[in-house]
Amino acid sequence: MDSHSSARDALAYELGNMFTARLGLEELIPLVISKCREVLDASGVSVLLLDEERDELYFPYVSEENPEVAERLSGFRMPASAGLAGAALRVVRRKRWTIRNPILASTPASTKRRKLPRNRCSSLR
Amino acid sequence: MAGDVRLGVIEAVNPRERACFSEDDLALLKKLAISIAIAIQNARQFREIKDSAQQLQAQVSILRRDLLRRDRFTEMIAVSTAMSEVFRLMEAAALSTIPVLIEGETGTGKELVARGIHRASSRADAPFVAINCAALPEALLESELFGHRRGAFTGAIEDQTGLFRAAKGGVIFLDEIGEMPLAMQAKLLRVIQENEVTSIGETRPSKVDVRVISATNRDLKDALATRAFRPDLYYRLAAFPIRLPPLRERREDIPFLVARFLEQACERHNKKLGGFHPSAIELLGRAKWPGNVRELQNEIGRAVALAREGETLTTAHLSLSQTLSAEPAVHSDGIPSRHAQCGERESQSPASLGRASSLDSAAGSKTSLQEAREAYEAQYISQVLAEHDGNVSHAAAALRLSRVALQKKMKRYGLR
Repeated sequence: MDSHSSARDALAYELGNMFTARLGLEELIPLVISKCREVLDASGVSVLLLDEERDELYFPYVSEENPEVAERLSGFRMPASAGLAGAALRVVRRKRWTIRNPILASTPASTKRRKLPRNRCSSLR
Repeated sequence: MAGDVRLGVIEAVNPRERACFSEDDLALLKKLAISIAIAIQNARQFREIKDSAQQLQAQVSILRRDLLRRDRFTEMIAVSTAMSEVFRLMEAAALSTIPVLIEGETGTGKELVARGIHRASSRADAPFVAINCAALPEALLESELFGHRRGAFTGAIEDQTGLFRAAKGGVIFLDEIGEMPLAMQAKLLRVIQENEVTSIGETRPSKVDVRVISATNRDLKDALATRAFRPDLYYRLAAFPIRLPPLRERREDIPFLVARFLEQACERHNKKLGGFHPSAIELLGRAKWPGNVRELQNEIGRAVALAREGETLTTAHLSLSQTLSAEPAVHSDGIPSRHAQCGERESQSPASLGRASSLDSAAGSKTSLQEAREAYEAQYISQVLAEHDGNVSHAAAALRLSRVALQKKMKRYGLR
């Protein structure tokens, strides 16, 4: 194992401890988003949780200065089969364990996105 | 995923300053996703536990309130109108936080009322601390109430918190407040006004949050007139006065109290008895009871102690002094006491104590002539006996009856 790999393992371990130490979703999700953006150097990270009963994905936490946008986002739901997230979930359903089989989109910038204002936490437009 | 449960999706988009994410990024996100899934699952379970804990807490509060309400009614037995009014006032006092002054003769259950108010109030989970102000000399009372610092006086070998601080958030019950020395009254007034306590040996007062419930068997208004009690303290303490009726004003409750005390005494003495003979209950219902419920309780305790296993308690088991203080077999309204035992209301009108009024009210209540005559006869005989200190011969002479005839009537009416 090279030093880069062990440094990444150490980072994953440290972040894992940090995440599991949080007991409230309202505290955990913003932390996950900010840390993932930081370590992956990504302009956008979002966490969508599955509502099994309604078969929909929703944002568990919204941080937005504009209250109108925040309200729209907090109530925003989409079918569990829609978009890139829906595709990932379909793989989960098929393979039962997607974490080992994530979707790696080669051209994420070209993915058709919804016309929504940028959300600071979700980075969704 | 956490186990077999699908939680959702984490999406990372638009890597900065490069075309796409690397295999390293992917590997890291995979590792992080496991921790994130576990953390989300933990957070959800924590919220469920927290919600159910809150629900359980609410249920416990409701059940506790119900239990306390039930306890209050089982501890204070009463069916009389006079006591219904007391219960009404207790409920109102429990909803408030103002000081309560309970006035009543000795043995009427003032501390029970204070405890009932405490249990039914929002301070039920905090302490209830009781002190008899007449039981301690002034210096000791101050130390007990407000506490002292080590070395504040000879014998103060360690710090003492004081009852006001010990009752933090709860209730302090000051029994026999009328016996409190004037100097202590001034200190107590300051505590009630300022909500501050200064221990002996301390210079700085400290805040206390305590509800004061006080009780007295004296008429504090008389004490105000003689300057034995400070008016400013009186009006502070008597913000919510509750007057407890003496037992003689709530004779309807006696049979129920007797049943309860008998059960308790039998349990205490580990005896099984055949209960009270009706004549004994009638006699208990007629007595004056200057010591009120406490005296009745002691009387029954004594009777149970005297009785043999399986025996039925009769008038013979009741104390001589009790029977000597027995009143006639009537109530103040002229109705024979057995009617009162059925729960009829007892008149408390002073006018009804007069002989003519007795007859008037007896007629008004549609008592039969026979009953009214017996009631009056019993009352009159009892009065004459009392005037002759229970001497049957002298009473018989005064009534112009033979001794034997008087004894027959006394037996009939359960006198002595």
